[in-house]
Parts: sequence; C-alpha cells; structure tokens
Amino acid sequence: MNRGHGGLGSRERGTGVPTGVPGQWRTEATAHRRAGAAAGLALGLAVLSVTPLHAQLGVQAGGVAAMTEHRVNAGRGVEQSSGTLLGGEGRLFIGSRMEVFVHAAGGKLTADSAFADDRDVGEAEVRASVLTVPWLALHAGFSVRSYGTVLARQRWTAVRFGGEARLAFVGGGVTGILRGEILPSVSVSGLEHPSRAYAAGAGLEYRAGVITVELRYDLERYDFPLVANVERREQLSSLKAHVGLTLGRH
Amino acid sequence: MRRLAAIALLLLALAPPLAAQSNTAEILQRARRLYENVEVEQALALLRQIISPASPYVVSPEQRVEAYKYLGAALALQQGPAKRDSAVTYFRAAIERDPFVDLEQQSFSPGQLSAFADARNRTFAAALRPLLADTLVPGSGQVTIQALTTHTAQMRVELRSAGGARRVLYDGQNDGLREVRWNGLLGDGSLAAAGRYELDVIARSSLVNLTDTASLYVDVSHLHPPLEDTLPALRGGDLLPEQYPLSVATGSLLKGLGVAAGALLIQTALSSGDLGGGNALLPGAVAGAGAITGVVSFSLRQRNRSIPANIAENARRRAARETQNAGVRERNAEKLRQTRLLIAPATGGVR
Repeated sequence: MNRGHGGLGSRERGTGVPTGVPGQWRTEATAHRRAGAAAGLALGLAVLSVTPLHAQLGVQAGGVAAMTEHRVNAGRGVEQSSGTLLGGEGRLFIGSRMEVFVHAAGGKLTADSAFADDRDVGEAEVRASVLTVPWLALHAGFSVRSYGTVLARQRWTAVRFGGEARLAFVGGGVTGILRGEILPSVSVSGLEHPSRAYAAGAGLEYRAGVITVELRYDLERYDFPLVANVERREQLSSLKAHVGLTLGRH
Repeated sequence: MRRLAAIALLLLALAPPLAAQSNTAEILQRARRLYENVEVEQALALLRQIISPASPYVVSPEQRVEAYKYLGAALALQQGPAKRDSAVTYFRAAIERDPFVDLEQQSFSPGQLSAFADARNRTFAAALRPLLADTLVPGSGQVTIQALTTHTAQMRVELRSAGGARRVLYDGQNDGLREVRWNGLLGDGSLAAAGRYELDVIARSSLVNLTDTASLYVDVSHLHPPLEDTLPALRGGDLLPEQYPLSVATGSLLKGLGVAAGALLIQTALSSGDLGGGNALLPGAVAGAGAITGVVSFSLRQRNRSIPANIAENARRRAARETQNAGVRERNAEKLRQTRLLIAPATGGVR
C-alpha cells in the first residue's frame, strides 16, 4: 500500500542522505563504527574470558514466526503497519555459562493506517551472553534491520547491551524470560541518531526432550531528537513463536 | 660411690632367700638320693625337715608336694600297719595339695602303689591342668584339656562364656586323669566368639559323699587378616531431596504471574504514548501463557511434589553403596573363613 507520503517518514524519503552538514555525518558515522567495534570487542572478550579450552558445546536451531507491529510518528500522525515475519534462530551453547544467539527474519508489513506504506522488513541480530549466575545472562550484541518501500530503503544498525533474567520453573521444563536492553548506538540511514533507544521482552520457554518452544513478546522503542520542531517516535513490537531442536546440551 | 653401696645392700638383701630356696632343692635332692639308696631313715629325716614349719628355708608348693610324696613312699617301704597308715596320710597330703601327683608304675613297688591308691580313694578332688597357649583351626583342630578326679566319680567338664554360651566337653564316669578335646565350636556348632571363657570340672565322688569343682579361665582370640569396615548408610546430606518444598509451587505461580506482569508492563509503561501504545494482543498472549503456566505449575506441584530424577539418583546411590558393602562383607567372610583360634590361659587362671 502506498499512499504517496508517510511510510519511512518525510525526512529520509528517497535518498538516504542524512540531514545536516556533511562533516557532521562523517563524524557520526565514525562514532557509530567505533561503537560497533566496541560491541564486537566486548563480545569477543566475553567469549574468550568464560570459554574453557574443552568446553562442552550444544546447539539449538529452529524457526521463528513473528506477528510484528510497526508504529512511527514523524510529525504527521501515527503510521502503523503490521504483518508476519518468518525466519530462523540459533543458539550455540559453549559450556554452561556462554551462549551465542543469532536471529534472522524477514517479511512484509502491511499498512494499517492512512499515512503508512507497505514495507518489506529484513532483520538480523547476533549477541553473546554470559551467565553470571544461572538465572541471569548479560549480553552484548549487534543488529541490523532494513525497511524497504517502493520509494526508499532504510537501514538500521544498533549496538545492544542488556540482561536477561531466566526464571526456571520447578522441574526445569519451563523457563520464564524477562529481558531488558539499552541500544547506546543506533544508526539509521537518512535520520539523526535516536536520542534514546531501548528494548524489552518477556516470554516463556517450554522444553520437552530436544524440542524447545518459545513464546515471547518484544518491544523496541526509538525516540529521536527534535528536528524542525518534530520529535520522531518509532516503535517495533512483536509476538514471536519459536520452535527448535536442542542438541548436545543437558 | 653411694650408688655402689646401694647395689651392694640390695644384693645382700636378696641373697638369703635365694640361698634358702636353693637349699630346699638341695635337701630334696639328697633325700631322693638316700631314698633310692634305701637309706630310708636318713631320707625321712631330711624330708621331715623340709615339711616342718620350723624349716629355715623357703619351700615351694611343688617342693612340699614332692616331699610329702617321698615321705609316703619311704614310709610305705617300712613294715607295719602304722607305717602304712602314715604313708597313706602323707600321700593324701600330697594329693590334697596337687591332685595330679602320681607314682610312676615302674619306679615304685606294688606296696607303695597300693598305699597311694588307698590315699586317692580316701581323698576326693577334681582338678584341671592349666592350658598351654595354642592355636587351632575351628572344627578340624583340637586342643587337649586335662581333667582329673582322684578316684571314681561322675565328672562333667564344660566351657562357659560370660554371655551364657556353653559347651559340655565331657559328662560321665571318670577315674583319674582324662584328656578332653575341644575343637573350638560351641554347643550349637557355632564358632566360639572371642573373649574369656570359664572351664569347669564338676565331679561327684562315687566312693564318698563329696562333690568337688575346679575352674580355670581361658582367653579365646580370633586370628584372621584385618577386616574391612563397611561404609555407613547414606545419610540425609548424601542424598538428594526427593520432594519439592511447598514453597516451590508458590514460586512457580509467582514466576508465571511475573512473566505475565512483565509483558503487560512492557506494553503499557515502556511503549511510546505518542504512538498510542501498541497492539495489546501481542503482550496479552504472553501474559496469558505466563499466567496459565504459573497456575498449572502451581497446581501440579501441589498435587505431586516428588522429584523422579532425584528419587532415581538416590536409588542408584543406595544400590551402589549396597554393592560396595556386599563386596566388603564377602571379602570379610572370606577372611573370617580363615580364622584360627588362639586359646591361652587367662591371668589368674586356676580356681
């Protein structure tokens, strides 16, 4: 659906060229690359610091379906779109205290409001977690997301730091999950960096033998700085259902 | 110098008894030689000197018995009933002091033997000869116990433990010395436990209306390779809990409700108000699942608190412990099958 305006927002339409002076763009791009490098370094150090030489490995892999809703307000009212993303997720368990998580999904969000555009979405994320105690994992990660409409394509990248509380139910077959993340460095093509970005989630993981089923609700929120008297707000929420197999972990 | 003087005084103090004992043995030797040379009167004089309370020398019980025996023998050689009666009297004195005293058939005349037999018939005593330390294989080996009645009597020899276990080794008519054998087993066929035993002889004379008893104590020890200790039974700290505590069910309920509340809180508190919140169906699904999971988990744990994995693990640990102990018991049984009994006289043995 294309109503000729809205969608990605008027400020980024068509070009992907950032507003502001060119020198500032380069400086901000450099800063973002540095933040990404820092996240990568943190990930690497976390893996090296907790991974024994002969750590037992385990793998979890499966598919994920996400009912996703996207909302953005670029100063002309709320543009809303929703749809289902399909993809895959995997976890590599290194010993009992280290995990590496990867996620990739894509799909189409259909406009639900008058000013919204239909858009294709593709996203990928990788994060490394360290279980400081059995019920708490601290993680660092990096994610990319792409929104594409008939008029433009917008690319989002983000560095993520956060923690995840894992509330094991008695018997060990069910785990409740509460997750919080801050996104200290987010880069959006054609837009200023958000002044504030965070994500949170809650879910349940059910395990029966090697089969794992997970149901979780995730929300990402991005608050952009005031530009031309407009404070852009953007939010992506999703209900994800994951079904996977776990091998090599007890 | 002072030390040398003390040693000299000590030697002086010890010297007279040693000399006296030595003199008794010497006199007894001379008396026996005179007796063998049929110089009876001189032998009698020396023997009477030994048994006299006025003897200046120390006389051991054995020397006194020997003196009485040769007094009887010497008097039995002399003619006349009075002399024979005296001979019998001295023989009885010897028998009363040592029931095992005897006259060797080849060394004494029929008259002497007759007088000695008369003395034994008139004197009634039962006795046990002290055991020498010995080892035996239970069941197949034997130790010999020497019991005696001075004349015909009904005699019983038995072994008793402090715990009441007993074994009758002989029960019947007896006259004189009898060797009784014991194979280390008790009356019920079981191996004699280690400990102190009382060996009794109880005899009732068939000639005179007298009963006599004698006892001695023996210590029985088991000789076998050292035994292994079995492992103690598993205690609480060695086992896993087999039931969840009651609080676990409540905890599961709270966790489920916590996830539900978390999903709703994210949607209401963290989403942007400018964007109108969001689709309530998305967090609602997780909230519903969390609440249901919590309630179901609570209900299941209330009804069934057992932990099957821990129960199985505890059973495995108990079985492993039992297997270990069975091995120890088997090895110990093999060692016990090699048991030898050490039988030794106890201190203060004869009564």
